[in-house]
Amino acid sequence: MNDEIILTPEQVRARSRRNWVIALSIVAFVVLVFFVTMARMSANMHAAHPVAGVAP
Amino acid sequence: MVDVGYTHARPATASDYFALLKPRVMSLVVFTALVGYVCAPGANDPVLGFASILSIAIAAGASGALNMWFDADIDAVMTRTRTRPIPAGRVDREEALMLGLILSGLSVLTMLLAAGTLAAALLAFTIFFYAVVYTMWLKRSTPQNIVIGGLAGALPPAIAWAAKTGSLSIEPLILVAIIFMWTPPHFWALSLWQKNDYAAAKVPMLPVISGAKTTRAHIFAYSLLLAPLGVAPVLTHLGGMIYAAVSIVGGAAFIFLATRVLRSQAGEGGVADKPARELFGFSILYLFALFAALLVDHGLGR
Repeated sequence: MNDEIILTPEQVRARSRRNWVIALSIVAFVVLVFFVTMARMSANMHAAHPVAGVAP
Repeated sequence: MVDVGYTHARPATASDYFALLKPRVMSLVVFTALVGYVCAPGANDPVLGFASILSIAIAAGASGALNMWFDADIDAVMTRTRTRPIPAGRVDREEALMLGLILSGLSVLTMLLAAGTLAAALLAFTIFFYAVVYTMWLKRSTPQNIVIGGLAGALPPAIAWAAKTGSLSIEPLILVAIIFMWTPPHFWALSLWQKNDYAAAKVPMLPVISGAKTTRAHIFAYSLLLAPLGVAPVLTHLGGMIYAAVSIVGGAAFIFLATRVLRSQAGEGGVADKPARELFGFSILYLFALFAALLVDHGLGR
């Protein structure tokens, strides 16, 4: 007996669209973490070494 | 060979999963959080501000997905909710649970990275309060469900404030109190004309347990508390002249519409429900106007 699941063309298209959305979401999350890390590092460096003459 | 075409009405699309996040609720949460962030003292950091508000939005969505996972039996009975992805058969319950848990974790993690411990802890508490305290416990057990549960929807401005400043003060807590006091008259107005649905789903909303007359009185009482509370940000100088005008006029209109509900037969069905529908519609406008006025006052460089 063959238990292989055969998807209809409509189901294949729907799965493909879902996969694209998941992939784009992961890329967006990676980009977000990158920019947040840069922003936090920048803020922390500024706090550790404030510009001379400027109140922290 | 197995044909899986029988399980779903149609294959689930990304929009079905997005619908699990309750985007309309999310939009109000995002707006109040944005105002909380902008009004908090200090310079606005566009990257950290965006990440913080996105975290709050995703957490609200995760809470919605967990709510739809747990309440699928209720949603299948009520007219307003039976077309949601789970009762409509487009998404499995377990998928909603997994989506809710994963997004909860990611949102708290992102908030921790972007804004620190206090905001992340408040965000985690909000998800827990909505998904566990409200959805799993209060909603099915007491007519005070939306009174206490409303805290979850009220917290976003305070979370955003904490995200920007790393602390809390009286100003964001007043904003929380306003949304907290706004929630009961807003949802009780809705439940007046949906009480048969709630009764069929065995949800103990106030009109189902205590009747329409008691509900109308409760709506009026909460409106009397809400209207002056809405003006309170003026006293702490969080709100300026525009906010003062909007909150006084809006509060008076809220009490006027609540008085009409009190004197009506709203909850008895048909045209009698009209005052409740009007108050429900106005309540959304009122809350939006209050926070928009704060945004304008702060946007104008007060």
